[in-house]
Formats: sequence, structure tokens, C-alpha cells
Amino acid sequence: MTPTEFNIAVRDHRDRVFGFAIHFLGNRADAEDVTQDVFVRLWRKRSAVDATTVQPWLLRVARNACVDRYRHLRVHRNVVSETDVETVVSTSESVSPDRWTEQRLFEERLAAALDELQEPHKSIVILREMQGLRYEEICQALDLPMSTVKVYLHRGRRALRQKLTGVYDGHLV
Amino acid sequence: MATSFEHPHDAAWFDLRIESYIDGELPEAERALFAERLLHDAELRRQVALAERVSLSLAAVERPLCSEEMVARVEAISQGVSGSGSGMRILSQRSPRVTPLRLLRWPVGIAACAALSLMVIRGIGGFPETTDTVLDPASETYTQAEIDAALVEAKFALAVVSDAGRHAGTTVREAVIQRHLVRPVNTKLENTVFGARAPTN
Repeated sequence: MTPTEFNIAVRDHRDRVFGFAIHFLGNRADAEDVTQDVFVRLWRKRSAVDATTVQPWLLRVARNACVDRYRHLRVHRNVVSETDVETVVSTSESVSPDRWTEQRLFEERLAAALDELQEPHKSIVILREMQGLRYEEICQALDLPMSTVKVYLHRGRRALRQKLTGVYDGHLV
Repeated sequence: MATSFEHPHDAAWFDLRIESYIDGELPEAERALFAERLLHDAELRRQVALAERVSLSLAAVERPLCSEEMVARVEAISQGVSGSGSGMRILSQRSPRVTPLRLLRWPVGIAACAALSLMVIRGIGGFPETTDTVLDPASETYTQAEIDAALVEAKFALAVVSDAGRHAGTTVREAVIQRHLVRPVNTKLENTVFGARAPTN
């Protein structure tokens, strides 16, 4: 991988890697650190990474880095539970204040529930539901068979639903 | 929720299939069963609505964009390292991690400092200039020598306390603030701004 190819890879995949990291970790500073580390690793391993498989490679490394960082944060800073709600704010159109507030509360609780998901459910939910990756792309990134990815995705979504069941009755209760 | 409608499957069976139903991935026979159950089961309808809302909310989450500054830093890796390996060496440096042993260093240092100060204040290896001057409160008049001696003692006591505080402050600054806050940030800034550039000579 030449410097030019590397820069193209950075431009093409930076937002996806960063988006995954910020949804996984819940704060911008750590997500930027992880994103930078991922691309530094890409540069180091550039001779072993094919340009056609760079996205799954980046996502796999990003996921591993996020898992490590998440554990580190949990042990040393204990701030992971304070999920940055900015990361899970929808681009909702103009709605009434009540509706907006209710949606915002729902998103905050959803963010907290997502933060508590086990791996690899969390990664798969982020990649599929929030980043819109195809199943094939997720399989390549996580090195899992498709049937497993689908099962984990359903389990992850079910876990989110179950965590929110107590607070939702057509609207938040 | 209990219903009078009887189905060949229990509520758990339907609960397991809610996400598949929303995604349209259920086989036709199961889909028909599910749709039939939905007509009679308010709790299942509530769960389906919740599952749909979860999916919609996740899909509607704003996709955060990576800052241009960070992109510039990352791209500097390739520009800087193409000429020399030194940039990568600097980039590869990691901020020192805060381990329990490291965390113990400065509290132990402060405790040792405080113990030493106490020992000094209590007179172990005390100050040759001072004496154990005791002013008798019953006596209304003190000689100038007694007052001077008391002032000297007070000055030394204050100096010891001040020195202990200064030493503790220095320890905290060097062991905690510099090592764990300032240095990692400086290192990161150097890495990202200067470290990846090729040396000029």
C-alpha cells in the first residue's frame, strides 16, 4: 500500500471507523484515539493488507481496539456508563416539544441499553443497525459465518428491546 | 398478557420471532401464525411496536463525522514516515497507563513526607537554634528573650509545614499531573503535529 493508497483509505473509511468507535465507546475523545490508532496500525501493516479488503480489516482492528479501550475505561476510570448522549441523537425533523423530549429520553435509554450489550452483539448491532453494513460486510469484518451474525443481531436487538420494555408503553412510562 | 385465544406456541416462541417478523424473515407459515396472534395479543403488539421503534431509532442516529484535524494527523503518518522511521517510533509511543502500583506511589510519598514532617516537628533531630520555650500564661510579663525564642519556634514550625506542603505539592505535580496528564498530552500533540514529519536534516 503506497502513501497515496493509504490516504485514499483514510478518506474513504475514516467516518465509518470513527462512527463505530464513538457508538461503541460513547465519547468522542476515546473514539478519536482509537481511530488514530487503527490507521497507524494500517500504515504499519500496509504491506500485508490488500487494498480490496481494507474495510473489513479496519473494522476488525477497530472493534478489537474498542473492546480493549472499553475494558480499560471500565477498570481505570469507571466512566463508561456515562454514555455521551450526543452519540445517539437522531436527526429528527420538526416535532412538538413533548414529542421531541419523549424521543430524546427514549434515545438516551436506548444508548444506555446499547452500552450494556454484550459482545459481539453490540458490534453487530452497531454495524448493521446504525451503520447500515450488509451482512456480508459484517461477516468479513468480524470473521463470523452469516448465520451466526444473524443470530447475534437478533439477540442483540431482543436484548435492547427487553431492556426498554419496562419504560415503554406506546410511549415512555 | 393472558388471552382467551389459544395458540400452538407459547408467548416465548413469539417473543423470539419478533425481530424476524419485523425484518420480514419469517417463513410464511410462521408469519401467518404470528399475524394471527398479533390480532389477539396486546402485549405482543406492544413488543412489536417497541422493536420497531428500537430499529427506527438506531437507524436514525446521526452518523458522526471524523474531524479534519484528525484526518490531517493520520495522513501525516504516511507523509512523515516515507522518509524516515523516526516519526513512527514517536507515534508508537503510548501514554503511560495508570496502574495500581503507580497510583500507590504518590500517596505513599505524601504519607512519608507527612511522617517526616511530624518527626521534625516533634523534635527528632530538631533545630539547634530553638529551645523548648514555654510561656507561662499565668505570668503577665515575658522577657524579650522568651518572646524572641517563641517567635523563632513559631517561624520554624511554619517553615516546616510550608516545606512539607511544598514538597507534597511538588510530588503531586511531578508524579501525577506531569506524568499522567501533561506528558501524555504533550506526547500525543508532538506525535500528531511534529512526530510524523520527516527530519529536516
